[in-house]
Amino acid sequence: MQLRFLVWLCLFCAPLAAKGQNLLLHFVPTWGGSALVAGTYYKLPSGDSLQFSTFRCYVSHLSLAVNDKQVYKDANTYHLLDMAAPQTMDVLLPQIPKYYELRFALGVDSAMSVSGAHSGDLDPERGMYWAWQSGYINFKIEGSSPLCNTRRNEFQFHIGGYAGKDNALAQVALQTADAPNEVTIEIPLDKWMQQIDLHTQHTVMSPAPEAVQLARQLALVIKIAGR
Amino acid sequence: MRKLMVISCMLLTVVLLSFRTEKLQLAVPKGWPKTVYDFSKNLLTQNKIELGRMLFYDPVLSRDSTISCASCHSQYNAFTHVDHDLSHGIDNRIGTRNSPALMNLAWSKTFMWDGAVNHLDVQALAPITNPLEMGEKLPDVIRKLQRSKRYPALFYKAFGDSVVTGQKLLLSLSQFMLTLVSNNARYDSMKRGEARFTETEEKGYAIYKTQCSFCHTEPLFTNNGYENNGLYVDNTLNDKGRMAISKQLADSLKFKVPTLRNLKYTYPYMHDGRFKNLGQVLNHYVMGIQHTTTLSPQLQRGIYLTNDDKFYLMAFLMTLNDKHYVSNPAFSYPKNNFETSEGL
Repeated sequence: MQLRFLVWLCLFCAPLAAKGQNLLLHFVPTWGGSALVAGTYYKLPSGDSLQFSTFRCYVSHLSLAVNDKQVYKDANTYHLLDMAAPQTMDVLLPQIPKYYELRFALGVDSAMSVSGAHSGDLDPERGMYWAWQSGYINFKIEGSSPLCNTRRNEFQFHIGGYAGKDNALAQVALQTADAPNEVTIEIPLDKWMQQIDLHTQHTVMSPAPEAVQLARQLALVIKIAGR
Repeated sequence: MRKLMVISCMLLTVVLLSFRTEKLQLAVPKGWPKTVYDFSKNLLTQNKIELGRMLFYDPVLSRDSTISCASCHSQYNAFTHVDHDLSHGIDNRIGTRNSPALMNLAWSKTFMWDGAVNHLDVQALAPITNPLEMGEKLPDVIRKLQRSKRYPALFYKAFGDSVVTGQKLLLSLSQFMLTLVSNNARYDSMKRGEARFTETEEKGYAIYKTQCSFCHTEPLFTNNGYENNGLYVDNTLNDKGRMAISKQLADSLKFKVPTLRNLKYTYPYMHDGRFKNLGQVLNHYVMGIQHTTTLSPQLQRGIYLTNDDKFYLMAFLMTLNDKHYVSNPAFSYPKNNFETSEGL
Protein backbone atom coordinates (compact mmCIF):
# COMPACT_ATOMS: atom_id res chain seq x y z
CA MET A 1 0.00 0.00 0.00
CA GLN A 2 2.72 2.40 1.05
CA LEU A 3 4.81 1.43 -1.93
CA ARG A 4 1.90 2.10 -4.26
CA PHE A 5 1.48 5.54 -2.73
CA LEU A 6 5.16 6.32 -3.27
CA VAL A 7 4.97 5.24 -6.91
CA TRP A 8 2.02 7.51 -7.43
CA LEU A 9 3.80 10.34 -5.69
CA CYS A 10 6.85 9.87 -7.89
CA LEU A 11 4.72 9.79 -11.05
CA PHE A 12 2.93 12.90 -9.94
CA CYS A 13 6.08 14.82 -9.17
CA ALA A 14 8.18 13.67 -12.11
CA PRO A 15 6.90 16.24 -14.65
CA LEU A 16 7.44 19.06 -12.13
CA ALA A 17 11.04 18.04 -11.51
CA ALA A 18 11.74 17.62 -15.22
CA LYS A 19 10.54 21.12 -16.02
CA GLY A 20 13.20 22.58 -13.77
CA GLN A 21 13.16 25.79 -11.83
CA ASN A 22 12.90 29.48 -12.29
CA LEU A 23 15.75 31.86 -12.94
CA LEU A 24 15.56 35.27 -11.33
CA LEU A 25 17.77 37.92 -12.88
CA HIS A 26 18.62 41.13 -11.07
CA PHE A 27 20.05 43.84 -13.29
CA VAL A 28 22.08 46.29 -11.22
CA PRO A 29 23.96 49.34 -12.51
CA THR A 30 26.94 49.77 -10.22
CA TRP A 31 29.73 52.19 -9.36
CA GLY A 32 32.83 50.79 -7.67
CA GLY A 33 31.06 47.47 -7.15
CA SER A 34 28.06 48.91 -5.26
CA ALA A 35 24.57 49.48 -6.59
CA LEU A 36 24.23 52.88 -8.19
CA VAL A 37 22.01 55.40 -6.39
CA ALA A 38 20.45 58.17 -8.47
CA GLY A 39 21.56 61.63 -7.40
CA THR A 40 24.59 60.39 -5.45
CA TYR A 41 27.91 61.98 -6.36
CA TYR A 42 30.64 59.60 -7.43
CA LYS A 43 34.30 60.32 -8.06
CA LEU A 44 35.94 59.84 -11.42
CA PRO A 45 39.61 58.75 -11.54
CA SER A 46 40.43 62.32 -12.55
CA GLY A 47 39.05 63.53 -9.23
CA ASP A 48 36.03 65.15 -10.85
CA SER A 49 32.55 64.23 -9.68
CA LEU A 50 29.49 62.98 -11.48
CA GLN A 51 25.99 61.84 -10.66
CA PHE A 52 23.40 59.81 -12.53
CA SER A 53 19.73 60.72 -12.87
CA THR A 54 18.53 58.16 -15.40
CA PHE A 55 19.35 54.61 -16.32
CA ARG A 56 16.85 53.01 -18.69
CA CYS A 57 17.70 50.13 -20.91
CA TYR A 58 16.04 47.52 -23.09
CA VAL A 59 17.12 43.94 -22.49
CA SER A 60 15.86 41.63 -25.22
CA HIS A 61 16.09 38.08 -26.54
CA LEU A 62 17.18 36.57 -23.24
CA SER A 63 18.25 33.00 -23.79
CA LEU A 64 20.18 30.22 -22.12
CA ALA A 65 22.72 28.02 -23.83
CA VAL A 66 24.76 24.89 -23.30
CA ASN A 67 27.94 24.48 -25.35
CA ASP A 68 26.89 27.23 -27.76
CA LYS A 69 23.49 25.64 -28.32
CA GLN A 70 20.41 27.53 -27.24
CA VAL A 71 18.34 25.52 -24.77
CA TYR A 72 15.86 28.15 -23.61
CA LYS A 73 14.28 31.30 -25.00
CA ASP A 74 12.48 33.99 -23.03
CA ALA A 75 8.86 34.22 -24.17
CA ASN A 76 8.56 37.92 -23.29
CA THR A 77 11.21 39.07 -25.67
CA TYR A 78 11.55 42.72 -24.61
CA HIS A 79 12.09 44.15 -21.13
CA LEU A 80 12.53 47.79 -20.31
CA LEU A 81 14.74 48.22 -17.25
CA ASP A 82 14.32 51.51 -15.42
CA MET A 83 16.45 52.33 -12.38
CA ALA A 84 13.62 54.60 -11.13
CA ALA A 85 11.18 51.65 -11.05
CA PRO A 86 13.02 48.91 -9.10
CA GLN A 87 10.55 46.15 -10.01
CA THR A 88 11.55 46.54 -13.66
CA MET A 89 15.17 45.71 -12.84
CA ASP A 90 14.29 42.06 -12.11
CA VAL A 91 13.38 39.59 -14.81
CA LEU A 92 12.03 36.14 -14.07
CA LEU A 93 12.61 33.30 -16.51
CA PRO A 94 10.24 30.46 -15.63
CA GLN A 95 10.96 26.77 -15.89
CA ILE A 96 14.52 26.83 -17.08
CA PRO A 97 16.70 23.85 -17.97
CA LYS A 98 20.33 23.48 -16.93
CA TYR A 99 22.53 26.05 -18.63
CA TYR A 100 26.08 27.35 -18.81
CA GLU A 101 25.58 30.55 -20.69
CA LEU A 102 23.19 33.45 -20.37
CA ARG A 103 22.71 35.62 -23.45
CA PHE A 104 20.82 38.77 -24.20
CA ALA A 105 20.90 41.90 -26.31
CA LEU A 106 20.99 45.51 -25.14
CA GLY A 107 18.25 47.21 -27.10
CA VAL A 108 15.57 46.50 -29.67
CA ASP A 109 16.32 44.68 -32.91
CA SER A 110 15.80 46.16 -36.36
CA ALA A 111 12.79 43.94 -37.18
CA MET A 112 10.89 45.51 -34.30
CA SER A 113 12.15 48.97 -35.17
CA VAL A 114 10.60 48.97 -38.62
CA SER A 115 7.22 47.41 -37.86
CA GLY A 116 5.16 50.23 -36.41
CA ALA A 117 3.72 50.89 -32.97
CA HIS A 118 3.95 48.17 -30.35
CA SER A 119 2.48 47.68 -26.89
CA GLY A 120 3.73 47.12 -23.35
CA ASP A 121 7.40 47.87 -22.76
CA LEU A 122 7.75 48.73 -26.45
CA ASP A 123 4.93 51.30 -26.48
CA PRO A 124 6.36 54.63 -27.67
CA GLU A 125 4.73 56.22 -24.61
CA ARG A 126 7.59 54.73 -22.57
CA GLY A 127 9.79 57.50 -23.86
CA MET A 128 12.26 55.13 -25.46
CA TYR A 129 11.29 55.86 -29.06
CA TRP A 130 12.67 58.59 -31.26
CA ALA A 131 9.92 60.63 -32.83
CA TRP A 132 11.84 62.76 -35.34
CA GLN A 133 13.46 59.69 -36.84
CA SER A 134 11.97 56.24 -36.42
CA GLY A 135 13.68 53.82 -34.10
CA TYR A 136 14.01 52.74 -30.50
CA ILE A 137 16.47 54.17 -28.02
CA ASN A 138 18.29 51.07 -26.76
CA PHE A 139 19.41 52.75 -23.56
CA LYS A 140 19.40 56.14 -21.88
CA ILE A 141 22.06 57.10 -19.37
CA GLU A 142 21.80 60.65 -18.07
CA GLY A 143 23.33 62.66 -15.29
CA SER A 144 25.66 65.57 -14.70
CA SER A 145 29.30 66.34 -14.07
CA PRO A 146 31.24 69.60 -13.86
CA LEU A 147 33.34 68.19 -16.70
CA CYS A 148 30.43 68.68 -19.10
CA ASN A 149 30.39 72.10 -20.64
CA THR A 150 26.63 71.92 -21.19
CA ARG A 151 23.49 73.44 -19.71
CA ARG A 152 23.41 72.40 -16.02
CA ASN A 153 26.54 70.32 -16.73
CA GLU A 154 24.33 67.53 -18.02
CA PHE A 155 25.42 64.51 -19.97
CA GLN A 156 22.85 62.64 -22.04
CA PHE A 157 23.57 59.36 -23.75
CA HIS A 158 20.56 58.22 -25.76
CA ILE A 159 21.94 55.25 -27.61
CA GLY A 160 20.05 53.64 -30.46
CA GLY A 161 19.98 53.04 -34.20
CA TYR A 162 19.01 49.94 -36.10
CA ALA A 163 20.07 50.41 -39.70
CA GLY A 164 23.32 49.38 -41.38
CA LYS A 165 26.49 50.79 -39.87
CA ASP A 166 24.49 52.60 -37.18
CA ASN A 167 23.03 49.40 -35.75
CA ALA A 168 23.69 49.85 -32.04
CA LEU A 169 22.19 46.58 -30.82
CA ALA A 170 24.91 45.01 -28.67
CA GLN A 171 25.05 41.34 -27.64
CA VAL A 172 26.03 40.08 -24.21
CA ALA A 173 27.02 36.50 -23.34
CA LEU A 174 27.85 35.56 -19.74
CA GLN A 175 29.26 32.20 -18.61
CA THR A 176 28.28 30.40 -15.44
CA ALA A 177 29.60 27.11 -14.18
CA ASP A 178 26.83 26.11 -11.84
CA ALA A 179 23.54 27.19 -13.50
CA PRO A 180 22.31 29.20 -10.50
CA ASN A 181 18.64 30.07 -10.00
CA GLU A 182 19.33 33.64 -9.09
CA VAL A 183 21.84 35.80 -10.90
CA THR A 184 22.82 39.40 -10.33
CA ILE A 185 23.95 40.99 -13.56
CA GLU A 186 26.19 43.93 -12.85
CA ILE A 187 26.32 46.89 -15.21
CA PRO A 188 29.48 48.67 -14.00
CA LEU A 189 28.98 52.23 -15.15
CA ASP A 190 32.36 53.22 -13.65
CA LYS A 191 34.07 50.87 -16.12
CA TRP A 192 31.94 52.24 -18.95
CA MET A 193 32.68 55.84 -17.99
CA GLN A 194 36.43 55.12 -17.98
CA GLN A 195 36.22 55.01 -21.75
CA ILE A 196 34.39 58.32 -22.05
CA ASP A 197 35.93 61.75 -21.76
CA LEU A 198 32.97 63.73 -20.46
CA HIS A 199 34.78 66.94 -21.32
CA THR A 200 34.43 66.19 -25.03
CA GLN A 201 31.79 63.45 -25.16
CA HIS A 202 28.64 64.25 -23.21
CA THR A 203 25.72 64.37 -25.63
CA VAL A 204 24.88 61.53 -28.00
CA MET A 205 21.24 61.50 -29.07
CA SER A 206 21.07 60.04 -32.55
CA PRO A 207 22.18 56.95 -34.43
CA ALA A 208 25.88 57.20 -35.26
CA PRO A 209 29.08 55.10 -35.23
CA GLU A 210 29.87 56.84 -31.92
CA ALA A 211 26.63 55.43 -30.46
CA VAL A 212 27.45 51.95 -31.75
CA GLN A 213 30.82 52.13 -30.01
CA LEU A 214 29.28 53.27 -26.71
CA ALA A 215 26.78 50.41 -26.88
CA ARG A 216 29.51 47.84 -27.49
CA GLN A 217 31.57 49.28 -24.66
CA LEU A 218 28.64 48.93 -22.28
CA ALA A 219 27.98 45.35 -23.39
CA LEU A 220 31.63 44.48 -22.78
CA VAL A 221 31.72 45.59 -19.13
CA ILE A 222 28.51 43.79 -18.12
CA LYS A 223 29.23 40.76 -15.91
CA ILE A 224 27.75 38.42 -13.37
CA ALA A 225 28.26 39.87 -9.89
CA GLY A 226 30.98 38.36 -7.77
CA ARG A 227 33.07 37.22 -10.72
CA MET B 1 -46.57 44.59 -29.48
CA ARG B 2 -44.41 46.85 -27.39
CA LYS B 3 -42.31 43.87 -26.40
CA LEU B 4 -41.79 43.03 -30.04
CA MET B 5 -40.66 46.55 -30.76
CA VAL B 6 -38.19 46.52 -27.89
CA ILE B 7 -36.80 43.21 -29.07
CA SER B 8 -36.48 44.35 -32.65
CA CYS B 9 -34.81 47.57 -31.49
CA MET B 10 -32.34 45.51 -29.48
CA LEU B 11 -31.68 43.24 -32.43
CA LEU B 12 -31.09 46.21 -34.67
CA THR B 13 -28.62 47.67 -32.16
CA VAL B 14 -26.76 44.39 -32.02
CA VAL B 15 -26.61 44.25 -35.81
CA LEU B 16 -25.39 47.85 -35.99
CA LEU B 17 -22.81 47.29 -33.26
CA SER B 18 -21.46 44.19 -34.92
CA PHE B 19 -21.20 46.15 -38.12
CA ARG B 20 -19.13 48.81 -36.33
CA THR B 21 -16.61 46.26 -35.08
CA GLU B 22 -16.67 44.17 -38.22
CA LYS B 23 -13.35 43.95 -39.99
CA LEU B 24 -13.26 46.22 -42.98
CA GLN B 25 -11.00 45.85 -45.93
CA LEU B 26 -9.41 48.61 -47.91
CA ALA B 27 -10.30 48.12 -51.54
CA VAL B 28 -7.18 48.35 -53.68
CA PRO B 29 -8.17 50.29 -56.81
CA LYS B 30 -7.86 48.30 -60.01
CA GLY B 31 -4.42 48.51 -61.53
CA TRP B 32 -2.81 49.78 -58.33
CA PRO B 33 0.05 47.90 -56.68
CA LYS B 34 -0.31 45.97 -53.43
CA THR B 35 -0.31 48.14 -50.33
CA VAL B 36 2.94 48.57 -48.44
CA TYR B 37 1.01 48.79 -45.17
CA ASP B 38 0.40 45.41 -43.56
CA PHE B 39 -3.28 45.50 -42.65
CA SER B 40 -3.13 42.12 -40.92
CA LYS B 41 -1.29 43.83 -38.05
CA ASN B 42 -3.92 46.56 -37.68
CA LEU B 43 -7.26 45.26 -38.95
CA LEU B 44 -9.54 48.11 -39.97
CA THR B 45 -12.79 48.56 -38.06
CA GLN B 46 -15.26 51.40 -38.29
CA ASN B 47 -14.85 52.24 -34.60
CA LYS B 48 -11.08 52.48 -34.84
CA ILE B 49 -11.31 54.60 -37.97
CA GLU B 50 -13.80 56.90 -36.22
CA LEU B 51 -11.55 57.19 -33.17
CA GLY B 52 -8.61 58.00 -35.42
CA ARG B 53 -10.68 60.62 -37.19
CA MET B 54 -11.63 62.25 -33.87
CA LEU B 55 -7.99 62.32 -32.79
CA PHE B 56 -6.89 63.69 -36.16
CA TYR B 57 -9.18 66.68 -35.73
CA ASP B 58 -8.64 67.18 -31.99
CA PRO B 59 -6.15 69.85 -30.82
CA VAL B 60 -5.86 67.97 -27.53
CA LEU B 61 -2.85 66.31 -29.15
CA SER B 62 -0.90 69.59 -28.86
CA ARG B 63 0.65 71.01 -25.69
CA ASP B 64 -1.70 73.97 -25.41
CA SER B 65 -4.65 72.39 -27.22
CA THR B 66 -4.48 74.79 -30.15
CA ILE B 67 -3.13 72.67 -33.00
CA SER B 68 -4.59 69.46 -34.39
CA CYS B 69 -3.28 67.28 -37.20
CA ALA B 70 -5.86 68.97 -39.40
CA SER B 71 -4.34 72.39 -38.69
CA CYS B 72 -1.59 71.59 -41.19
CA HIS B 73 -3.47 68.84 -43.05
CA SER B 74 -6.85 70.23 -44.00
CA GLN B 75 -9.16 68.25 -46.19
CA TYR B 76 -9.96 71.00 -48.69
CA ASN B 77 -6.24 71.22 -49.40
CA ALA B 78 -5.95 67.48 -49.93
CA PHE B 79 -4.63 67.34 -46.37
CA THR B 80 -1.84 69.87 -46.52
CA HIS B 81 -1.42 73.40 -45.17
CA VAL B 82 -2.94 76.09 -47.32
CA ASP B 83 -0.99 79.14 -48.39
CA HIS B 84 2.00 78.76 -46.07
CA ASP B 85 5.41 77.99 -47.50
CA LEU B 86 6.54 76.66 -44.11
CA SER B 87 3.91 75.15 -41.82
CA HIS B 88 3.39 76.63 -38.38
CA GLY B 89 2.58 75.10 -35.00
CA ILE B 90 1.85 76.11 -31.41
CA ASP B 91 2.75 79.62 -30.15
CA ASN B 92 2.94 80.76 -33.80
CA ARG B 93 6.21 78.87 -34.21
CA ILE B 94 7.24 78.33 -37.78
CA GLY B 95 8.60 74.99 -38.90
CA THR B 96 11.26 74.27 -41.48
CA ARG B 97 9.20 72.54 -44.16
CA ASN B 98 5.95 72.64 -46.08
CA SER B 99 3.59 70.02 -44.67
CA PRO B 100 3.18 67.10 -47.10
CA ALA B 101 -0.27 66.41 -48.58
CA LEU B 102 -1.73 63.21 -47.13
CA MET B 103 -3.22 60.67 -49.51
CA ASN B 104 -2.79 57.03 -50.48
CA LEU B 105 -0.55 56.49 -47.46
CA ALA B 106 -1.07 52.72 -47.48
CA TRP B 107 1.22 52.68 -50.55
CA SER B 108 3.96 54.78 -49.00
CA LYS B 109 7.18 53.09 -47.87
CA THR B 110 8.53 55.98 -45.83
CA PHE B 111 7.16 59.26 -44.52
CA MET B 112 8.23 62.88 -44.28
CA TRP B 113 10.16 64.83 -46.94
CA ASP B 114 13.38 63.09 -45.89
CA GLY B 115 11.96 59.63 -45.13
CA ALA B 116 12.83 60.00 -41.44
CA VAL B 117 9.82 57.89 -40.46
CA ASN B 118 9.82 54.23 -41.44
CA HIS B 119 6.19 53.23 -40.72
CA LEU B 120 2.83 54.98 -40.79
CA ASP B 121 2.05 53.84 -37.23
CA VAL B 122 4.89 55.90 -35.77
CA GLN B 123 4.51 58.87 -38.09
CA ALA B 124 2.26 60.91 -35.80
CA LEU B 125 4.92 60.88 -33.05
CA ALA B 126 6.99 63.35 -35.04
CA PRO B 127 4.49 66.24 -35.27
CA ILE B 128 3.11 65.56 -31.77
CA THR B 129 6.53 65.94 -30.16
CA ASN B 130 8.19 68.49 -32.46
CA PRO B 131 8.50 71.75 -30.45
CA LEU B 132 7.67 73.76 -33.60
CA GLU B 133 4.53 71.73 -34.32
CA MET B 134 2.44 70.34 -31.45
CA GLY B 135 5.20 70.55 -28.81
CA GLU B 136 3.65 67.86 -26.64
CA LYS B 137 4.90 64.67 -24.96
CA LEU B 138 3.20 61.36 -25.64
CA PRO B 139 2.61 60.45 -21.95
CA ASP B 140 0.92 63.85 -21.48
CA VAL B 141 -1.35 63.27 -24.48
CA ILE B 142 -2.31 59.89 -23.04
CA ARG B 143 -3.00 61.43 -19.62
CA LYS B 144 -5.23 64.10 -21.19
CA LEU B 145 -7.15 61.55 -23.25
CA GLN B 146 -7.58 59.20 -20.31
CA ARG B 147 -8.97 62.03 -18.17
CA SER B 148 -11.30 63.38 -20.86
CA LYS B 149 -15.03 62.76 -20.74
CA ARG B 150 -15.09 61.44 -24.24
CA TYR B 151 -12.10 59.31 -25.07
CA PRO B 152 -12.11 56.37 -22.62
CA ALA B 153 -15.51 55.35 -24.06
CA LEU B 154 -14.26 55.74 -27.62
CA PHE B 155 -11.16 53.66 -26.87
CA TYR B 156 -13.43 51.04 -25.32
CA LYS B 157 -15.60 50.95 -28.43
CA ALA B 158 -12.58 50.66 -30.65
CA PHE B 159 -10.36 48.29 -28.65
CA GLY B 160 -12.63 46.69 -26.06
CA ASP B 161 -10.53 48.39 -23.36
CA SER B 162 -10.84 51.97 -22.12
CA VAL B 163 -7.19 52.25 -21.08
CA VAL B 164 -5.51 54.69 -23.45
CA THR B 165 -2.04 53.67 -24.60
CA GLY B 166 0.42 55.09 -27.07
CA GLN B 167 0.00 52.09 -29.31
CA LYS B 168 -3.80 52.36 -29.48
CA LEU B 169 -3.58 56.08 -30.15
CA LEU B 170 -1.14 55.53 -33.00
CA LEU B 171 -2.93 52.54 -34.51
CA SER B 172 -6.26 54.38 -34.63
CA LEU B 173 -4.66 57.46 -36.19
CA SER B 174 -3.16 55.13 -38.80
CA GLN B 175 -6.56 53.61 -39.49
CA PHE B 176 -8.10 56.98 -40.31
CA MET B 177 -5.13 58.01 -42.44
CA LEU B 178 -5.24 54.70 -44.32
CA THR B 179 -8.79 55.44 -45.43
CA LEU B 180 -7.58 58.64 -47.12
CA VAL B 181 -7.49 57.17 -50.60
CA SER B 182 -7.69 59.49 -53.59
CA ASN B 183 -8.62 57.60 -56.73
CA ASN B 184 -11.55 59.50 -58.18
CA ALA B 185 -9.85 62.09 -60.34
CA ARG B 186 -10.77 62.54 -63.99
CA TYR B 187 -7.62 60.55 -64.78
CA ASP B 188 -9.01 57.60 -62.80
CA SER B 189 -12.35 57.80 -64.60
CA MET B 190 -10.47 57.77 -67.89
CA LYS B 191 -8.49 54.70 -66.77
CA ARG B 192 -11.69 52.97 -65.78
CA GLY B 193 -13.16 53.75 -69.18
CA GLU B 194 -15.81 56.05 -67.72
CA ALA B 195 -14.47 59.22 -69.32
CA ARG B 196 -12.31 60.22 -72.26
CA PHE B 197 -9.51 62.76 -72.27
CA THR B 198 -9.81 65.81 -74.48
CA GLU B 199 -7.22 66.22 -77.20
CA THR B 200 -5.36 68.75 -75.03
CA GLU B 201 -5.31 66.40 -72.06
CA GLU B 202 -4.13 63.54 -74.30
CA LYS B 203 -1.22 65.65 -75.54
CA GLY B 204 -0.38 66.59 -71.96
CA TYR B 205 -0.50 62.94 -70.94
CA ALA B 206 2.01 62.08 -73.67
CA ILE B 207 4.37 64.85 -72.47
CA TYR B 208 3.97 63.67 -68.88
CA LYS B 209 4.90 60.13 -69.94
CA THR B 210 8.16 61.19 -71.55
CA GLN B 211 9.20 63.96 -69.14
CA CYS B 212 7.76 63.30 -65.67
CA SER B 213 6.72 59.69 -65.29
CA PHE B 214 10.09 58.27 -64.29
CA CYS B 215 9.82 59.81 -60.82
CA HIS B 216 6.11 60.63 -60.69
CA THR B 217 5.10 57.14 -61.71
CA GLU B 218 1.51 56.04 -62.37
CA PRO B 219 -0.85 55.25 -60.79
CA LEU B 220 0.30 56.83 -57.51
CA PHE B 221 2.28 59.49 -59.38
CA THR B 222 5.32 58.95 -57.20
CA ASN B 223 7.98 56.24 -57.28
CA ASN B 224 8.35 56.56 -53.48
CA GLY B 225 12.01 57.45 -54.02
CA TYR B 226 14.22 60.41 -53.14
CA GLU B 227 15.50 62.80 -55.78
CA ASN B 228 17.39 66.04 -56.08
CA ASN B 229 15.23 67.99 -58.51
CA GLY B 230 17.69 70.82 -58.95
CA LEU B 231 16.34 73.39 -56.53
CA TYR B 232 18.89 76.01 -55.41
CA VAL B 233 19.65 75.76 -51.69
CA ASP B 234 17.71 78.28 -49.66
CA ASN B 235 20.44 79.56 -47.34
CA THR B 236 17.91 80.60 -44.70
CA LEU B 237 17.11 76.90 -44.23
CA ASN B 238 20.14 74.99 -45.57
CA ASP B 239 18.00 71.90 -45.77
CA LYS B 240 20.02 68.94 -47.09
CA GLY B 241 16.98 66.66 -47.10
CA ARG B 242 17.55 62.91 -47.05
CA MET B 243 21.24 63.26 -46.17
CA ALA B 244 20.37 64.36 -42.64
CA ILE B 245 18.81 60.93 -42.09
CA SER B 246 20.96 58.60 -44.18
CA LYS B 247 24.24 60.53 -43.59
CA GLN B 248 25.21 59.58 -47.12
CA LEU B 249 26.73 62.37 -49.21
CA ALA B 250 24.99 60.78 -52.19
CA ASP B 251 21.66 61.78 -50.61
CA SER B 252 22.51 65.46 -50.30
CA LEU B 253 19.61 67.70 -51.42
CA LYS B 254 17.35 64.74 -52.12
CA PHE B 255 13.74 64.86 -51.00
CA LYS B 256 10.90 62.41 -51.22
CA VAL B 257 9.19 62.52 -54.61
CA PRO B 258 5.70 63.91 -53.94
CA THR B 259 2.63 62.71 -55.81
CA LEU B 260 1.19 64.79 -58.63
CA ARG B 261 -2.34 64.00 -57.53
CA ASN B 262 -4.49 66.89 -56.27
CA LEU B 263 -2.00 69.62 -57.19
CA LYS B 264 -4.83 72.09 -57.58
CA TYR B 265 -5.42 71.97 -53.84
CA THR B 266 -1.92 71.56 -52.45
CA TYR B 267 -0.16 74.86 -53.25
CA PRO B 268 2.44 76.07 -52.50
CA TYR B 269 4.87 73.48 -53.86
CA MET B 270 8.21 71.83 -52.95
CA HIS B 271 9.54 70.85 -49.51
CA ASP B 272 9.86 74.51 -48.54
CA GLY B 273 6.80 75.75 -50.36
CA ARG B 274 8.91 78.08 -52.51
CA PHE B 275 6.68 77.95 -55.61
CA LYS B 276 3.27 79.53 -55.26
CA ASN B 277 1.81 78.11 -58.46
CA LEU B 278 2.34 75.36 -61.00
CA GLY B 279 3.58 77.81 -63.63
CA GLN B 280 6.59 78.49 -61.39
CA VAL B 281 7.11 74.75 -60.95
CA LEU B 282 7.18 74.10 -64.70
CA ASN B 283 9.47 77.08 -65.25
CA HIS B 284 11.84 75.64 -62.66
CA TYR B 285 12.10 72.37 -64.58
CA VAL B 286 12.60 74.18 -67.88
CA MET B 287 15.14 76.78 -66.81
CA GLY B 288 15.83 76.71 -63.08
CA ILE B 289 17.68 73.41 -62.61
CA GLN B 290 20.87 73.73 -60.53
CA HIS B 291 23.51 71.22 -61.58
CA THR B 292 24.94 69.70 -58.43
CA THR B 293 26.56 66.28 -58.05
CA THR B 294 23.42 64.57 -56.76
CA LEU B 295 21.03 65.98 -59.38
CA SER B 296 18.53 63.40 -60.57
CA PRO B 297 19.81 61.60 -63.71
CA GLN B 298 16.43 62.33 -65.28
CA LEU B 299 17.15 66.06 -65.13
CA GLN B 300 20.79 66.02 -66.31
CA ARG B 301 19.89 66.93 -69.86
CA GLY B 302 17.16 69.32 -68.79
CA ILE B 303 13.50 69.31 -69.66
CA TYR B 304 12.52 71.17 -72.75
CA LEU B 305 8.94 72.38 -72.92
CA THR B 306 7.46 74.91 -75.33
CA ASN B 307 4.70 77.21 -74.10
CA ASP B 308 2.24 74.90 -75.86
CA ASP B 309 3.74 71.89 -74.11
CA LYS B 310 3.31 73.62 -70.76
CA PHE B 311 -0.31 74.34 -71.59
CA TYR B 312 -0.96 70.70 -72.51
CA LEU B 313 0.91 69.38 -69.51
CA MET B 314 -1.04 71.66 -67.20
CA ALA B 315 -4.29 70.36 -68.71
CA PHE B 316 -3.21 66.83 -67.98
CA LEU B 317 -2.11 67.64 -64.43
CA MET B 318 -5.56 69.09 -63.77
CA THR B 319 -7.08 65.69 -64.56
CA LEU B 320 -5.36 64.41 -61.41
CA ASN B 321 -7.46 66.59 -59.12
CA ASP B 322 -9.92 64.54 -57.12
CA LYS B 323 -12.82 66.72 -56.09
CA HIS B 324 -14.50 63.79 -54.39
CA TYR B 325 -11.43 63.37 -52.16
CA VAL B 326 -11.44 66.93 -50.85
CA SER B 327 -15.19 66.88 -50.23
CA ASN B 328 -15.77 63.32 -49.00
CA PRO B 329 -17.76 63.68 -45.74
CA ALA B 330 -16.16 60.49 -44.36
CA PHE B 331 -12.83 62.36 -44.15
CA SER B 332 -14.13 65.65 -42.84
CA TYR B 333 -14.24 67.22 -39.40
CA PRO B 334 -16.49 64.94 -37.27
CA LYS B 335 -18.67 67.82 -36.14
CA ASN B 336 -21.32 65.60 -34.58
CA ASN B 337 -18.78 64.35 -32.07
CA PHE B 338 -17.37 67.69 -31.01
CA GLU B 339 -18.94 70.61 -29.14
CA THR B 340 -19.26 73.70 -31.30
CA SER B 341 -16.48 75.44 -29.37
CA GLU B 342 -13.78 72.82 -29.87
CA GLY B 343 -11.95 70.80 -32.44
CA LEU B 344 -9.99 71.58 -35.60
